[in-house]
Order: sequence, then C-alpha cells, then structure tokens
Amino acid sequence: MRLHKARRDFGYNINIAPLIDVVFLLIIFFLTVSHIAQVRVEALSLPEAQKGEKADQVSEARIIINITKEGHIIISGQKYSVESIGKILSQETQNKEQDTVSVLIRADRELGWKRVSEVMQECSKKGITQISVGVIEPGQSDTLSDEE
Amino acid sequence: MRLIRRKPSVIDLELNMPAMVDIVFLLLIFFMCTSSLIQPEESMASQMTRPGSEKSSSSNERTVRIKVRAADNEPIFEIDKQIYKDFNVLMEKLKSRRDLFDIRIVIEGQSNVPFKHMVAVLDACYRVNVTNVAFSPKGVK
Repeated sequence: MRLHKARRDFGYNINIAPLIDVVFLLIIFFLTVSHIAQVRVEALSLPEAQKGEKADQVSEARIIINITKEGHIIISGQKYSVESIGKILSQETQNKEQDTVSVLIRADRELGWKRVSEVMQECSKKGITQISVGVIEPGQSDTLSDEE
Repeated sequence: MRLIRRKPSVIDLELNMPAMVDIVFLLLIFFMCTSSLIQPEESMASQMTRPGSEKSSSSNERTVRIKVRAADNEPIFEIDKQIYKDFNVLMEKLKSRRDLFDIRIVIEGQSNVPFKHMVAVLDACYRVNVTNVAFSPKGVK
C-alpha cells in the first residue's frame, strides 16, 4: 500500500488590485482638493535685481499684493481696486500691531509705475512702513506665464 | 488505527513587487508632468516718502533726487538736471556722492515708466551700498 502524502500548499497572496484602487482614489481626492486651496501668489514676471534678499520666513502678518501687467490688483486670489485695498490694510493694522504688518508688492515688470505708486501710497496712508517689492535674480528664465 | 499527523502547513507569503514599482513610477511621472517649477523669488525693502519728509533730516545728509523717464522703452535718469542713460554711469555718480556725504535717495518716476526701471534704480542704489532710499509719489500724473 502506497501511502500518498497529501501535500497542501497554503499560499497567501496579497491582492494588489484594491490597493491600487485606493491609491488612485487618494490621488483624485488630493487633485480635487488642491484646486480649492487659496492661492496667495499669482504668476507674474517679476523685475530683476541683484540685491534682492531671500525671505527665510514668511511673516504671518505679511500681506502679498499682486499687480498684473494690466494693473489688476489681486490679494489672495481676489481682485480689488486701489480704494478697497485701503480697507483691507486697515483691517490688518487693526487686528495686529502696525510694526508687525508688512506688505510685499509683487508687480509685473512691464507694469506702469503709476499703479504701483498708488498701492504704495495706500500702504503709507495706513501707517505700514515695512514695504518690500518682489524681485528675481537676473538671468532666471520666465517659466511662469501671466495667467491674467 | 494509525493517527495521521498532519504537519503544520507552511504559510507562503508572496508580495507582488513589480506591480507596486510600476505604480510608484506612474505616480512619479504623473506629478513630474503636472507640477510646475517654482521660481525662487526675493524681495527688496522699499518705502514711500510722505509729503514734507523728503528734506534731509541732518546737516550732513544730502537728498539726491533721481528722476526716471522712459523713452522707447529705455530708461532715462536725471540727477541735478544732468541726464544719464547708462546704469553704470548712474552708479558711478551715486558712488561719488556717497563718498562725499551721507546721501538719501528719492526716486521719482513718471506714470508710464515700467516698474522694472524703478526697481533697477533701487537695485543700483543698493549695489553702491546706499540703503536710505525711498520712492516719491511726485511725478505720477
């Protein structure tokens, strides 16, 4: 009598297919959510300067004012007029101390000086003294296009 | 009756690695294609003069007023009624002034002057180590 040894191979295979589905679900979720996020910085062609300073830390009280080539003033993705940004600046200076409020003006290099001057005057009227202008190092290629 | 003892089954775990590697590379290529490179940006401190504050505060300080105009998209600078078109000449002029006095620079531009020219003048001032620089709202019509 020949004994037959019953051999059973219990192989445990991890089913990858649901894992892939979950990964793609996560990707689609983050893609959708990322468009809802507020954009503080607009795509602009900034002027060139050699003596620019890199901002190591972004101040919480820093207001970023973007001015496009056409003269549109954009703050946190919303368009404003010169008069209305005065209200925003007033709100910021009321909430925080005036010394801590700083303004970064990111203006397109081809924009006329008049619009920038108006914005800077509004900042001065509200008592904001820490005003800086956004620049890039010379020779950097313009990889960003003007979305306006 | 002979009891048949079954040997404990050997659990064989297999992880299908090639599929996971493919997914990782797919994700990598996807985000490489969809993301855009962020340009490193810098900033330069500036300020705007207030009416009545453009005069020098001390006797040893001189206020140098630089008027900027634009002609055919090229900047024209005027200091003490002298006209310059070259940035290097402008910087030399500012250096010579800086060596004589403590100078305070006020940059005045016309409405149609491109912002890049105003920033270039500001940059020229910083390059000759003059940091007391301010923009003036005069000249804007």
